[in-house]
Amino acid sequence: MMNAATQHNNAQNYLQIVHDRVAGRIRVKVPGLYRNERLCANLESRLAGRDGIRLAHANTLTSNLLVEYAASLDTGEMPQHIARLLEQELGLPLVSDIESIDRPTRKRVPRKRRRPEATQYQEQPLRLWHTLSGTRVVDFLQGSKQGLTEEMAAQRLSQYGANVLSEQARRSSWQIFLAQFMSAPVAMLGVSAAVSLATGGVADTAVIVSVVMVNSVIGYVTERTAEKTINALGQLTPESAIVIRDGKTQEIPLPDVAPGDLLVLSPGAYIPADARLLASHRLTVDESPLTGESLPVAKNHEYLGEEGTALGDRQNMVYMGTTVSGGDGRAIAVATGRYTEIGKIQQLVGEAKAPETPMQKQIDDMGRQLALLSSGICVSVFAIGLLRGRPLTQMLMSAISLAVAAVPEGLPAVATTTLALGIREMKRRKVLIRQLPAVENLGSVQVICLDKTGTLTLNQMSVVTLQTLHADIKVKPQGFYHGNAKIDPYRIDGALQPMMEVLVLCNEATLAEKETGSPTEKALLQVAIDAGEDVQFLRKDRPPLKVDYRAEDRPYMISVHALADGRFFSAVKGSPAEVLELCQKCSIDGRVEDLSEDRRKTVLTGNERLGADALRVLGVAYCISGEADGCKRRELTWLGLVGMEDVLRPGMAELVAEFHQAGIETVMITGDQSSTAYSVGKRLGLNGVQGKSLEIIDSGHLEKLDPSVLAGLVGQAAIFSRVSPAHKLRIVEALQRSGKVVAMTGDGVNDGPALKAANIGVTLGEKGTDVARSVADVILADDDLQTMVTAIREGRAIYDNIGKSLHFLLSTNLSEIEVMLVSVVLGGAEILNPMQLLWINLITDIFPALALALDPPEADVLKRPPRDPNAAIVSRSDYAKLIRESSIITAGALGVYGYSRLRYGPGQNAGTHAFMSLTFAQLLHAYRCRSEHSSIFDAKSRPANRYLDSAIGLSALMQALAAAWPPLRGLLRLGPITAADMIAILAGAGLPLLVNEAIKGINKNIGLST
Amino acid sequence: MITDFVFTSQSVTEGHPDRLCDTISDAIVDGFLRQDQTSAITAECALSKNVLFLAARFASEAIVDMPELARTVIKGVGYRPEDFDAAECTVVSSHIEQTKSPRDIVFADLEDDQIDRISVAHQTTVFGYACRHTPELMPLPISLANRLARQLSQTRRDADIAYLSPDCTSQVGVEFVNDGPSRIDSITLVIGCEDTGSPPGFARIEEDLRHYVINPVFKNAPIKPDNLTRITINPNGPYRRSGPATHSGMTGRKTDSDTYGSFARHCGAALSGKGPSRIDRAGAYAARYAAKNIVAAGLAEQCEVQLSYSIGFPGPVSVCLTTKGTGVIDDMEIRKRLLRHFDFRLGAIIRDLKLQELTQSHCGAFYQKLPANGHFGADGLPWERTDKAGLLAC
Repeated sequence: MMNAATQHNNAQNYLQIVHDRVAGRIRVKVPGLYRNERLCANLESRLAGRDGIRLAHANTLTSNLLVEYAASLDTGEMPQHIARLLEQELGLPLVSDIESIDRPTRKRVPRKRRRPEATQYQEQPLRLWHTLSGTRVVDFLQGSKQGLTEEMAAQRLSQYGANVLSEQARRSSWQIFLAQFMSAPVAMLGVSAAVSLATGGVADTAVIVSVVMVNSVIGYVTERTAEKTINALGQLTPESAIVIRDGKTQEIPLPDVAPGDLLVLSPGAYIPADARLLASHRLTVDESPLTGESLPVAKNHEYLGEEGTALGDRQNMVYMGTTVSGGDGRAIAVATGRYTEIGKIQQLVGEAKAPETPMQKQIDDMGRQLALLSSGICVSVFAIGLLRGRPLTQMLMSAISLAVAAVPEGLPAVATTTLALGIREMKRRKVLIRQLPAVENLGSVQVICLDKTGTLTLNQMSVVTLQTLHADIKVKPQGFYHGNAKIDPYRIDGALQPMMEVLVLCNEATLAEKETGSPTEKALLQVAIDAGEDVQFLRKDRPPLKVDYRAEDRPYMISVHALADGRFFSAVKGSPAEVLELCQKCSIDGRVEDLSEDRRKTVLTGNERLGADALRVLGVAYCISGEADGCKRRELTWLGLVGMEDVLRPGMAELVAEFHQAGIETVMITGDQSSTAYSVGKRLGLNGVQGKSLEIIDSGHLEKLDPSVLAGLVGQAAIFSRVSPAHKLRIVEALQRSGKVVAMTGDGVNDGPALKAANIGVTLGEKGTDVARSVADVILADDDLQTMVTAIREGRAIYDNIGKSLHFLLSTNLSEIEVMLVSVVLGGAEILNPMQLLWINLITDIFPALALALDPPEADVLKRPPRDPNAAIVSRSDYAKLIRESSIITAGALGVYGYSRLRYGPGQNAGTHAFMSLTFAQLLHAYRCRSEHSSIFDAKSRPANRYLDSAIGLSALMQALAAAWPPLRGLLRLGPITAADMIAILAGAGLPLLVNEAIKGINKNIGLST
Repeated sequence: MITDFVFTSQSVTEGHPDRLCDTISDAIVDGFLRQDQTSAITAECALSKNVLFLAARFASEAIVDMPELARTVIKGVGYRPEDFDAAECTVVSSHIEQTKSPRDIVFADLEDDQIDRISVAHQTTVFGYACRHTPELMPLPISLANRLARQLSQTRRDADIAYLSPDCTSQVGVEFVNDGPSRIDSITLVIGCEDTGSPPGFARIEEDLRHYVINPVFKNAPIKPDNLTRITINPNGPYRRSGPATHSGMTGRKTDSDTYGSFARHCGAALSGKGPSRIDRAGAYAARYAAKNIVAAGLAEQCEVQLSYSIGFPGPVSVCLTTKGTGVIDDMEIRKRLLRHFDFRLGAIIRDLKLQELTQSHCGAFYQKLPANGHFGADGLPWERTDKAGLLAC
């Protein structure tokens, strides 16, 4: 009967409280009630008269059920009681409003053949699982102590779908290929091709079409290679999970985990689904992929949360994607696949959108503008020509040739190729680029947000200091230090050997192939090994008899071991103050002495100091006695303090300095309290030069802050402390709001939205989670943040180089237009014929421009501030410069034309000499375009570009061939060239370069931008 | 000369944003001195809505979690979370770390010639004042205004008035006849009302305040409000909201109620947020110490001591005082005795008043209690001792 409810639940399959604020009544929305009189009557009759319910009234139009009960019963439990009653009656879960907001919005994805299952599955029930007792959870999921039967599991898998996260959509090959044609210059060329085809210029059409195709193919190939590179990175998640089914423990493939499955949790296990704990024994879980918290979180199946309990505090829940770091337990899977917390975050990632990259915008704009401009010029050349009485077809051909020459159709190809070559170069340097535009965005990064845990630090604990009453020893990766001297710890202080023994024995970690244990215990074991302890021998020699773990009322751990001589060794480590309380004696350089008040005070002060220095501190003590339980707790011998921290990776301070030198601000984001953050920030030099203030924004609740206020505050901040990873998105958005181009590092699942929103999302290759890697723009494959500097240098150089190519293309094309303009204005014979124009275009456009794109980074590229992301790649002052330079080139060509015309009269010869001069001048101009800062006169200070030398050489050779090889000469209709002409041509080609470079030098000296 | 007049002074409770900022600044001073008594520290604080700004310049071995300290202070004041939530507010802190100067040493056992080598680093003219209006030798108007403010806080802490917010202000007008206080002219209290479901009526507020605040303050006072005393409570109506949600705060904006309620001159510089080596704080305490001892010695009815310091000098470049004609001996003679028995050099002030040790000897919290309890006039402050009165008298 009650199945009637579930049959109509297309929209909603849970009960929802509409109103329960008035004493004595509760209104609940019941799915399937709409126009269902039978269900209505049924509900009313079944509920009325039960447990104090006075009246039940169901409305078949609003689908609401009103239940009234004696107001005197309204002790707060009644609504819950009714809710439970309804749950039983209808077999549907009751969901509070808050949780239903969290429900992942389901997008109506059009069915694709490849994934037909996408919309067929039933949604998984959502509940506030952490607020329910274990037995209720088991009831709801119809699980049992024996786990699901294979049959039930199969049925659930078909009902709810496999336990997989939705993968990120990939662009298809066709989409990539088609995207290459979506630019204005290509459209312009298409029109030109059509026109010249219509006027019978088949050869021209073929040339134009092939130019377009070549460009598109280059773009397609490079972009596809990049996509492939990224996709080839591979998956990192384990493939199987251990569950109990049919009462047996078994290993099943990860996607086969279904809601209701009983999960077996043991150290090192990857948690395959969100699950409610049913049993736990000292269970700790590393939730850093989800919450970014690097220390393991203690879990307890007995805990009961409230509705608003934060994810990280739900001690009775474990979540997909996290791993067990210690202890063991059982849990029942409550959500799988897209319905897990990780799954929800992935969906959120799908919603945050990335801003369009500056260069995309610029190249689009410029392409459009230049297409318009050259159309205008072509039309006017055409019109002037017609007015001057030239024949129509000839003018049409000239105009089209000019259009082809004028449009920098090489630009998209040059830009794409430069970017793609940059990607390859970066890949060689371990920087994997995921988005093509990210390359140039790298060059404009103004702020880099660094995640402390995992990015600046190694995300593993290490012992950094050992403090006994006799000596104060620093532990560095290189060894043990006393003062500045490297020492053998056992020679300096006799207390250290027993101390290390305690650290080995009172420790559950193993450093075998598969590391187990908490980060703290691993660190302690490591320092003992470094000091020279043989862990295996020691543990075998003194087998543990009894271990008392840390507990709520016992902030220390004691393990008792049998000694070879029949006595017993008790090893104690724990909270320094408490351990000290247990001690009567202390070890001074190995001699056992009384622990005087003064010495106690010394220890406590030392503890306070280390604590203030952001270290995690443990006290260590031991005792040897005749009986196993003989160590009366107050008779321990104090050994010393051990200080640990999540150490910074080497070289980070230098890295920060490099960022600063490059004009990039650094922001550290950490969950630490602000004193810890300050001491780390100071060591890193986040405040830049000494004496500048270090600003810290400390907030555990950034979401409470108005975004515009936050945007106002972030300007100076170098550190965000006590921030949870979920707030990174807010920080990125606030920085962007304040007008900055932001790079963000992160590798946790929770970092996804922030990485996507940042202009450059950076993740470290090996450690990054799938989510982080799939949304990141840049992946540092060698796991080293230092590589980011390389990435930025390359990014800047690539942008510079695109600028150089652009500069070259525009100024040379302009000179062609100018020559043609002069030609029509003067009247008479054309200076350059259409074939010559296309030839110039062919040999002077692509190759030198490509070679310029390969220019090595200029020496000062990391000493300049980042470029203004809003500045155009070619600014207004650049246009003036382009016109100036092109006019000088034009003047050179026209000079040669004048000389030749005076000598040979108007006709083929003068045109030929102008053509030769113009081509060579353009080729030489490539050297002018190599830098805006240095000229050919400071050749020593700039790196050589062999590609350019070869490209110019090749082009010059082809030009010489054109003049010498009869078939080409015929095609281009070239006249003879004498030795005197040659000198004139060389002068016409070389002088413009010298003049342009001289102007650059003069402007530089008088402080103008060149 | 007009000798009959009314003088008003005003004060605020510990939950007033300005006072809160003072307290936070001083808690930071305590935080540093607790770990390292030679710390040099200047801390300033501003507060608006749910953002707290901290700026600290320091030279110290200590590591202090300033945001946490600030939150502890805010929590202690006890705003309702909707007005100001200590845990949820954002703290923006600016840290400037400096290297210790020769001034940042232990002063306790310094010899005279060593003190001579320690010069002041700030230029300031500070004043100290004392008069016979009250047993603690403070002007009556500010003394009463402060006491009312403290009583308001106490009432709230004892939960006697449920709707009382931590942010209130008080003002007292005292009528002077022949330069002496003769009666209470007016009392004005502006209290924040917290929403407790049923807003209290005016009559209830007035009755509560008379019963729990005004009467206790004047219980043993020689001058009590009379029938003609104008008692005004919330003249602009009950404030629904109060605290940082409605108005911002800043360190050093309540210097008149910190000092003498404008009854005497005071240096405009803030007292709070400055470590012992700041002469504008230490000097103000020393000047009060001097003035109080002169009045306690019976040399005058009132006395104002002025000390001027210039950068680079160890002691004041000018020491002056006035008794406004109430001295039993000539002011010149008083000054002579003053200079004989008091050492106003920075190092001597720090050493004699034990400014470096106070935090540690008061269980880690000394300076942060001053903004709410009063920098002057309160019990147990070293500069409130009258141990040199005997020396000055002869």
